[in-house]
Amino acid sequence: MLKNLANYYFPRSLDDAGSILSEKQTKNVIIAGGTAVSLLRDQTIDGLVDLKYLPLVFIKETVAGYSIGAMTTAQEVFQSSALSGPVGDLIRKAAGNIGSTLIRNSVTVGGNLVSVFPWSDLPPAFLALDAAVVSRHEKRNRTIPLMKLYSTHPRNILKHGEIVTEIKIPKASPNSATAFTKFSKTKNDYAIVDVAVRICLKNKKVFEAAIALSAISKLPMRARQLIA
Amino acid sequence: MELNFSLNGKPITLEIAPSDILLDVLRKAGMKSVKRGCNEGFCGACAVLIDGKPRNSCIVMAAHCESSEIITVEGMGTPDHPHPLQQAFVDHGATQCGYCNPGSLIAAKALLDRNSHPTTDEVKLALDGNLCRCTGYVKRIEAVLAAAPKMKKHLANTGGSK
Ligand SMILES: Cc1cc2nc3c(=O)[nH]c(=O)nc-3n(C[C@H](O)[C@H](O)[C@H](O)COP(=O)(O)OP(=O)(O)OC[C@H]3O[C@@H](n4cnc5c(N)ncnc54)[C@H](O)[C@@H]3O)c2cc1C
Ligand code: FES
Ligand code: FES
Repeated sequence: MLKNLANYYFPRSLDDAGSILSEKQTKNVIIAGGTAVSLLRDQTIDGLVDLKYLPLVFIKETVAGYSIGAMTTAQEVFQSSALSGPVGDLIRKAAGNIGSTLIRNSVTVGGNLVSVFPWSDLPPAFLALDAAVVSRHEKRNRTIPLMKLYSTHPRNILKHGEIVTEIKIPKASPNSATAFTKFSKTKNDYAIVDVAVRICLKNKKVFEAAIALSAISKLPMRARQLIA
Repeated sequence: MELNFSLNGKPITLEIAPSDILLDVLRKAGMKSVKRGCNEGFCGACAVLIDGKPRNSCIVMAAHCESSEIITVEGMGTPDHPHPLQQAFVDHGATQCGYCNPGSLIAAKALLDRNSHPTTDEVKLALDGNLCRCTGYVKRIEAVLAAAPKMKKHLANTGGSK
């Protein structure tokens, strides 16, 4: 329980959210799907900043690939007809493996990527796809590749009050294929191990291979040693 | 703080604390169909519709639901005029202790509201977050499949209100 929670904010713009989050005297924290925040036992949080009215719910296909808004839910991703082909299928499969329908209707892409528990299913998929998050802080945007975001816990990479706004996933090279597998005790239990794979063939040889794993370590990781 | 939302089709204003959880607020408001099972998002007994989406009310902040539309089983049907899903749960023996039923009914309603011809696999997926310790899952799948074709008539009888 957030015992000392005094305020609940609904900012109408990213920069309003940013300024509430950077207040020095009070500790204000972002709430997205709330599935992790609602279970916190933390007496130090003064305010929650709910991003529900910000235009961060979208799944777009661009020339460069896909772009997914941070407040898009896992269920919206799982059921999206805009996501297809090897890249889209991998993303949808990972999203569909999160918890249950009820959980997927709450969990957001941004929340899943930033809170990154060992069992989080989206990070390995996006890592295998060489994706990058876009964030906003002090009225400026920056792009952070996932490899960097997960080089340590994202809380060490993101600045105080920095908001992840979207994730950008590049198109795969031609002749690519992907796969995602979650091993867990039951369908909606946490992963024991997640494996996300992307390979690309050129002249009948594997030209590029990306294998991302999670649940086996604190943070999701790309398996480099497996590549001969 | 004040929380304004629509509860089972009627506007309501409640005085809440910013830290309140939706499950507690709904039960205090008399919605006793909303059950507390695990209290951490695993069992689905607390499921309600928030803006048409079934979610676990035990892990939703009440304040988050400002201006939302919330539906609980109290808004689905009455003993005299049960919702087709409620009648089908009775007819097909999809209930024993009954504790999981409100959550399962809400998840099933969300499915039938957007898909009036679900397949068995679609029913299983829609109910994948609703644990039942008693009935063994088969009967409730039969019940949802049996209720689906009755939805059209139900909507006509209730003037389009789901
Ligand atoms: C019962 C249960 C089962 C689950 N099963 C799975 C599972 O199988 N697989 C899986 O992957 N996940 C699962 N989850 C979800 C996972 O554990 C996290 O709770 C979830 O990913 C958090 O996302 P959220 O949108 O709810 O974030 P919130 O709880 O709202 O926020 C989480 C954290 O991220 C920060 N944050 C959120 N959005 C942003 C943003 N845009 N920018 C910067 N910071 C942000 C918040 O400040 C907070 O610190 C499960 C959760 C529950 C309760
Ligand atoms: S009481 Fe909410 S999921 Fe169990
Ligand atoms: S009827 Fe008892 S838990 Fe489902």
